[in-house]
Amino acid sequence: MDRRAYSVQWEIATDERFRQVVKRGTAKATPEYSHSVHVDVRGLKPAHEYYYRFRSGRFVSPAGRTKTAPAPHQMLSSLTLAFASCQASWEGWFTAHRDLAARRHDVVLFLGDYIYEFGNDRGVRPGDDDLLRTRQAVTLDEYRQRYAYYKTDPDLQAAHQSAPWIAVFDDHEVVDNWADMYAGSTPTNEFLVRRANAFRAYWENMPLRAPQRPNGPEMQLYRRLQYGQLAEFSMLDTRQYRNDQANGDGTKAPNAATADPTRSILGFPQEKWLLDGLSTSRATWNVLGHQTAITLLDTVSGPNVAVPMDTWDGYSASRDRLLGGIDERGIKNVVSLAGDLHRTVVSDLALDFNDPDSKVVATEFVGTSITSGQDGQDLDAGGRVLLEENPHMKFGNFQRGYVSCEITPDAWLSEFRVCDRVTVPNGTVSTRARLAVESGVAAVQQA
Amino acid sequence: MKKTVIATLVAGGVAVGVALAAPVDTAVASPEGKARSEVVLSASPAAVSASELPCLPTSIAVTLTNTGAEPVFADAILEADRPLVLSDTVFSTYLPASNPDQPVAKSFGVQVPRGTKPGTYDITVTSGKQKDVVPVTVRPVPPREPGANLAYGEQAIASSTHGNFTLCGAVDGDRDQSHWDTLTGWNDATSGVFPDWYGVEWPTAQTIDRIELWTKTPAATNGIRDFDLQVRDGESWRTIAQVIGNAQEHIVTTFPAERTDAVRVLVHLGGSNYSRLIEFEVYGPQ
Repeated sequence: MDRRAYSVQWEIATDERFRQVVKRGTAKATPEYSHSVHVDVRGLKPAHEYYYRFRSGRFVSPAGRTKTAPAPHQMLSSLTLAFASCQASWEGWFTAHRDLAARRHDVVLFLGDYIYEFGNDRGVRPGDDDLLRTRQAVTLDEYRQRYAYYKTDPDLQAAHQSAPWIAVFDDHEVVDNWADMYAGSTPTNEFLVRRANAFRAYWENMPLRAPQRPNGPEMQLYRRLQYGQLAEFSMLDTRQYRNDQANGDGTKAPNAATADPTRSILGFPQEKWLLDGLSTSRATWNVLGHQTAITLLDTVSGPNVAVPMDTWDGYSASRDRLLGGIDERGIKNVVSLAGDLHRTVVSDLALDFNDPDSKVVATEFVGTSITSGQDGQDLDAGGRVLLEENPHMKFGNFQRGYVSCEITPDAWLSEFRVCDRVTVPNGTVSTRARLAVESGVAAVQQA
Repeated sequence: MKKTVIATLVAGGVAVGVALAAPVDTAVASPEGKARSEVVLSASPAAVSASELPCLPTSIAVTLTNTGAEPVFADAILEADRPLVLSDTVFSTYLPASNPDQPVAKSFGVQVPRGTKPGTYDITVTSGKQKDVVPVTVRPVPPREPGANLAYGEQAIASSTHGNFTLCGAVDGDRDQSHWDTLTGWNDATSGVFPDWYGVEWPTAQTIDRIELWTKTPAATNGIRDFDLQVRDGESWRTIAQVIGNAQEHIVTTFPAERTDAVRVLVHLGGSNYSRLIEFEVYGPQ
């Protein structure tokens, strides 16, 4: 461990060869933050492409590309966006990231499970039986080591390099299915130490600003980002303030506990912040960037119903308040983007999922994983059951990949990029489906 | 590990980042004169005794405790006299300001490589200005008593080992089923994929005529089911016994004496997706 601090010079240019440098400065990389620097550059032109790089001593970083957000009054004619999640490094190659990088989107949303904390099997990559890759992360040095390893992946580096990222964590940046101060049988005081360690390493390794810097086990992750008049992103935190999963977690029949109005997946302050923000939004598209599915997911065939306790199904009163609030306040063009399920699930979000005539008030695209779950297949048995049991679900896929979107004032287009294989290097990425949402019409359509 | 600078840039409304894997060499003065640390360092046990058997990795626990009024992050750095090998050399953690104090600990494995000369070797633990030294007394390997388990503490070998377990877990002399959760025992790292194998190798050939396997209980659902016992013949493995449909926790297999430098169990099927052993024991003729 190097106890010294280092100065790091940064530069921003309008060209990739840094002939036109428009901003430069110096930041300090200290051991307290694992030699990370977080530079929040102000005064750049809105909706412009820039390149940035870092220098320390005689070492110069590769150049990264970014694109600034438009000015608040500006209406973009088009915005390209990718969203991705769930990258278990030992389960495959990050081929999807390579494809994502090549498209040089205007912005990338990473919706959690950037690392996995648990002790795991030997993976499919050479060297995957290295203890540093397979052991569990609990202490800060162990979480840092995990990020350091993930960040050696050249495809992941390319994805970071290709576009600005807006990141939120899910559960595995901390521990499987944690909920507020609860994580399995771990005593709360011990878990909060682990949570603080995990948050610290997450902030150090992600492009997050100072307001997101954790204070011990507390971190202000939920936040709003405006893209002019075209889009507004409400980035949510459905882990830190939720009630513990009902009925011992797992997949269970909905009951009084899952519908209990005193329980919340966001926590009541964040629920209010979200609906208040949506109410005052002047953007055409109101995007929710978050962790897991809002839609009803009945996972069993026949009249019985069993839903995941970890998704919004386990907190259906939160879902009712959100979707009901969207309807009551007349909020248009709400698009929910999430991950966590390791499968693509596209749904119309209706006020009452059990009534096929119920009003559709929002649209949800749950994206599949980058690698988690290995190769998968187009439609597995579980995916077929989901499509049969959930008529509001319009499309499903169980391959690995990400979603590339184009957003205009008239329509939202989601293109589902899937890998034929991830358990071998250099898999082929292709478009499995294109689905659209027309402005003013929440229902999903074929593009 | 090589030092990595993580540089993250937040530009014009959106955050962007890049990981920079190049070491940097421009030293800047560290801030001095900070508030006096109220973190207390301790390492336990105070002294460790070890023998040079490669699979008896002993361990020490490093504990950091915040006795102050403000929460802090703290680091402990470990250094071992050569040729001792530590499983890790850094411990960094958040330390809440709790009342009563809340100690936070991390365990470090200490390995004594074969051929280490008997003597005392220090493990030095530092945190800020505090220092603690744990002496490790390495003793010669005692001669094995007649009838002793020849695998105990010897070099384990395996096709793979799951991240929650250690390679040496099934030759550590602990066959208490209730300790499985504390990571004694061996579990392979290829879920649903067989065969897996686990065994032991010696620096010199041994004469053996009995293998006793202790598998995870309940054996019918967690244990090893179909397997071969094999001895090493030069570069290849030769099967000396086969078991099909095992449902017992403790499997004793005797065979005409063999002279070999390595022995293993080749598992073709387990009761679950994994091969799991609590203890692997090998005995020679009396």
